[in-house]
Order: sequence, then C-alpha cells, then structure tokens
Amino acid sequence: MDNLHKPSLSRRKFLTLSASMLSAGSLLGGCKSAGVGIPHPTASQLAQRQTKDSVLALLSCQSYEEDIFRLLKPLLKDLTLPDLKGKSCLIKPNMVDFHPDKPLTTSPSVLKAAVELADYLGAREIIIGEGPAHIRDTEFLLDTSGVGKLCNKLGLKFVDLNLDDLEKVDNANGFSRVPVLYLPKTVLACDALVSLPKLKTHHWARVTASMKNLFGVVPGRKYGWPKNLLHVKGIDNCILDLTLLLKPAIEMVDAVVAMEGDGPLNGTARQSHFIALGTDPAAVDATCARAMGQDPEHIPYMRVAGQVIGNISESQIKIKGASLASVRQTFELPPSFRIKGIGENQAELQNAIDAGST
Amino acid sequence: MRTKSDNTALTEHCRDGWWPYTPGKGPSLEATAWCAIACRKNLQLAKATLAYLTGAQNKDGGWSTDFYSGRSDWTSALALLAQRILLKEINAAEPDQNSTLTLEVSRSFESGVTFLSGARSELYNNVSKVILMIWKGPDYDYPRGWPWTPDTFHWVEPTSYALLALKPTDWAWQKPHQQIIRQAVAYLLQKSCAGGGWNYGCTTVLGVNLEPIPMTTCVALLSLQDEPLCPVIESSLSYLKGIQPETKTLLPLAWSTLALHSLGEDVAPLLRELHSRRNSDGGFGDNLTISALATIAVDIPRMDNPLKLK
Repeated sequence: MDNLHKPSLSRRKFLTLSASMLSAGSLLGGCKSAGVGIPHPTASQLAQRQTKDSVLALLSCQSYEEDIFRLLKPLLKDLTLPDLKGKSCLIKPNMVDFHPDKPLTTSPSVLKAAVELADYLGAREIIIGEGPAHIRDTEFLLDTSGVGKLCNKLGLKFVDLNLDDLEKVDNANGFSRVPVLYLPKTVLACDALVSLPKLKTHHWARVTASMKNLFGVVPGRKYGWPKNLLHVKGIDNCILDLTLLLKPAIEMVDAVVAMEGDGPLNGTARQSHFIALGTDPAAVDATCARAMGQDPEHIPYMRVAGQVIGNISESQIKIKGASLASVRQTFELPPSFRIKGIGENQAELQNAIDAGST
Repeated sequence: MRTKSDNTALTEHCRDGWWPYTPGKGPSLEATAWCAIACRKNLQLAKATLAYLTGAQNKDGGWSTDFYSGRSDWTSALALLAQRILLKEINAAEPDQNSTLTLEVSRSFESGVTFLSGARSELYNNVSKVILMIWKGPDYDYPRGWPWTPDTFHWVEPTSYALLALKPTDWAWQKPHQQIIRQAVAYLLQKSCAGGGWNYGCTTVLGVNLEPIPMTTCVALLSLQDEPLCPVIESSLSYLKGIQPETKTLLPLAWSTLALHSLGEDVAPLLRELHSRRNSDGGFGDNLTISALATIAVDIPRMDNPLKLK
C-alpha cells in the first residue's frame, strides 16, 4: 500500500533521465541508425550476395598446444578455399586490448595455423596486420598477445594498420551513409584478406567474429582510438560496409577459448574448443553464433548479412569436420542484452554517449 | 659519423619538411609534428616544416592526418603545437631575421586556432542547452572537449593535444575563449578513471570500471600541468608513478618522461632506461613518432621540455 504513495521516479531522477535522453538524442541525432536500425538493403547491395551454398569446417580443438594446421589439413579438401599461388595475403588477427586474465585476442597458435594455411595455399607474401582500437602502444600489444614473438620467429612483417598510408574508398552505397572511407593501403593492395578473430560476445553487436573483426582494419590515424565514427554511424551498418568493401577471402575463428558475458573486453573465458574455417563470412559468423546458442536471425547485422553477403540459413551451410551440435554451448550474454526497463535504458544511453569500446 | 645526439635517425627521413609514420611511407601530420619538435634546433628543417604546415593547411584552417585524407581532424592541434614551438625556436636563434616567416606562420596559426576553437564535439542541441541553462545556471561549464574526427564524441587524447596547443597562447587568455579551456579541463577531470589515470575517455561500460592507459594518462597530465592540484591530478600522478617499474615499451616510457618532468618529478631512471634503448644511429626504431617522442624526452637535460607549459 505504501508503495502506491511513493513516486517511481524522483524529480531529480526524472530531470537527470530527461537530460540524458535529450543529450543522447542530440548526440545520435545525426546518425539515426546508430546501433538501432539498419537501412533496407538496396538492389545493388542485394545483388552482391553469394548465391551458392556455403561450405565451412568446424575443427574440434581442445587446446592451443595442438598442432592446429595438422588437424585442419584433412578438412581442407572439402572446402573451396581460394588459390593463393603468387598472391599476397594479409592476415588480420584481433589484438584489440590487453587484460592478463581475459581472452581478448586471437591466440598466436591460431595465427600460426593461419600462416601455415596461407603458405599451403601458395601465398607469395604473408603479412600480419592489425589496428588496435584502444591502445596506441602496439609494441605492448604485440608483446602481450604473443603475436610479436610469432612474427619474429616466422620472419613475418607486421603492419600497424592504424598508421598505414591511406586510400580513399567509395562507400556511397554503404549502409552507414558514410560516403567515403579512408582505409589502409596495405589492406587494399593485398590479394587476399584473412579475418582471424577471437569469438566473443559483444555488448552492442551481441556477437563478434569474422565480420566485426574488420573494425581493426579502420585506421586510427584518421578515425581515432577508439574508432568512434564506426559507433556513431551504427556498429551494425559499419560491420556490413566493411565486409562488403574488404571482401575477406578466408575467415578463421579462434573459439578454442572464447569470451562470454560482458564481451568484448570485460567478459569471461569460455572453453568452447573449436575453430571455424570458411570463405563466406556470413556463414562462418552465423555458425559461430549458433555455436554460442544464439540465433543469427536475431542479430541484426547477421540477418542483413544473410541478404547481402552470404548464407546464414542452416539449410544453406554445409559443415565439414565436427558437427555444430558437438560444439554448441549456451554462452552467457552481455548485460546489455539481458536488461530491460527505463533505468537500464538510461544506462544504455549513457554508454552510447561514452561509446567507448569495440 | 653519426652521434647519438644529432638526431640523424629522424632527419634522414624528412622529405620537404614532412615525415612519415614509418620510413618510406607518405606524409603523416602527427609524425611531422613530433619529429619536427624533436629536431627543433635544426633551423633549416624547422623552416621547411613550417612551410610544409602552411602549405598543407586546409581551407577551413585545420589540418588532416595527411593532405589527401579529407576533413580537418585531431592532428590540427599537433600542427599548431609544432608551429608554436618551431617559431619560438627560430625567433630565439635568429631575432630580427624572420619577419616574413613569422607573419606567414602567425596568420596560419590564427586560422588554425579559429578552426580548433570551433571544432569541439557538440553535445547538446538547442533544446537541451536551454534545459541545461535552466537546470545548472547560465555560467555552467559543462564538460566539452575535442573529437578525433568531426561529428563524433570528445575523447581524452585529442582534447589534451588541443589544450597543449592552445593554453600557452594569447588566445586562451582572451575572455571569450577562457570558457573553451575551462570546459575542456572539466571534461578531462570528469573522465578520469576510478583510482586515477585516464584511458581513451570512457570510465565505465555497463557498470564496469575501465582501466587507465599509461599514454593517455601522460597526455592528459601534460595538458593539466598548470591546473591547481586536485584529487584527480594527484591520484593520476600516483597511478603513473606506480606503474613505472612495469613500463617497458618505448611509447609510454617517452610520454611518462615528458609528463613526470613537466610535473616536477624525478625522471632520471626513465632517462637511463630510454638511453639504454637508443640505437647506435641515435634513433629508437622504425616508428618515427615514437622515435621522435623518445628523442624529445632524452633531450630534456640537453635542451628543455618543449611540452612544459610554465
């Protein structure tokens, strides 16, 4: 009974909330699709979609101590991997940030397997490239992620994509309504781009895998640390634009130890014991989402990726190696996908203002 | 024969007054600013860089990360910082000899300052501003800093660079502009992480406190070095001093030296560490921005700290 007399929101709280909502509305006013809606695909976007069925491999892998490429090799004959003979190949791992107790970055063991795969496919030149999103100290991230040590051991060139020379790329037909993007020349000049993400939950995009990993290609020297424009113009839209522009040739997802909960930075390790390998980023990511217990149709960017990039329907994806059922788990979702109600919305708005993580 | 102190490792990569991020690449405004500051005693290079900066200035008065990369951005603050430091150096060495140069650079600088003062992130629309004025009063200095790129949010690093560029100028002391400085300072103080230090500019996500980052902490502290000591600055200084034993990579070592020196702290151990990392050619590796920052830092005892505001 007493509760009836208590206002649910104090005047102060109401004013705070109103101001927050107005300010967030103002900030996001120039970008109506910011994380909320993706424009309907145009005919030219729809025409880019891969039409044939997709084939990918799921490799059961219990630990990073395994010889991953040796385990993968028997599955390669069933995949339609590109011929890289005489071609240059840029492998893009995820080196977003560092935390000693969290699996934030692609394992060097998986990177080594990707290098061996590119070599096996005949690549003339193999370059490792990444543009970390938050920390400008790439030397530190190379050390802590183990990627630097591997590059030195294998004699591979590493390119800091944040600092590479830029090339103007037309994006007039993109979802983000950013008419041009400035992207690293090294990425645009390579013959084949390999996206090598760490599988994680993501507090704005729900799942981050091979398509979201392409955010690391966007150069900090132009867009900053973090690459705020990608958030302001809509994470989903930018994931789609980058995938359409960069057209990764191979996707290899490190899900031996993945991340669940408040990913991509504050979640916890999830032993998921698999690696996904394919050539259709939509199919690879949709399969990874299913392996996390998520329906890709409920993930906005994946749903649209199924219209403009490739296949997300299970019936159009043939899986070689381990079955999806054998690797499927139920990942804990980030809090942003578990909360409802006005107070939480305010928190989301505030976080939209902060917009500080990838 | 090269010596460790003649900065040949940097000067040999200069092309017509500009530097790339890494040898053999195209122009980088950021690398140009820091390399030119590191080589500021080389007056011929300083003049070439000032000419380059004037030529690379966009019509709106700002600069872009490289000349062909679209709208003016965060690097405008670094261009202004370099202009100020280089011109001061030239005028000190050659008084009465550079009136034309001084005039040209001053014009370019004024135009750059005008751009920068209008390039802050716009946080509130008109309705929100009215509500804020009623709620907080007309003199409320709501936190407001600079973005990396136009039409995005404000962040710690570009805001700090803008403060470093603007604070020592006459412009900053003019009454209409003081609010711009105050709001930027308020922004930095608000965005300090729990326990001190700064990251890129996000203190929490979904209720989780985020960790500070050494480099952004240094840049923010440098831009606040002339502010009265307050708990945020004290705790951030404490954080920075506390992490020094674990700081191994060049970028935070260089920034830490510059920041701690500007705040009157002992940097002798950092200088020793930096010296030990110096290559035989006098440089610090292929990343010319980091090499320049480390050079500026190790040259503090021989020259001065150009980022010191007082």
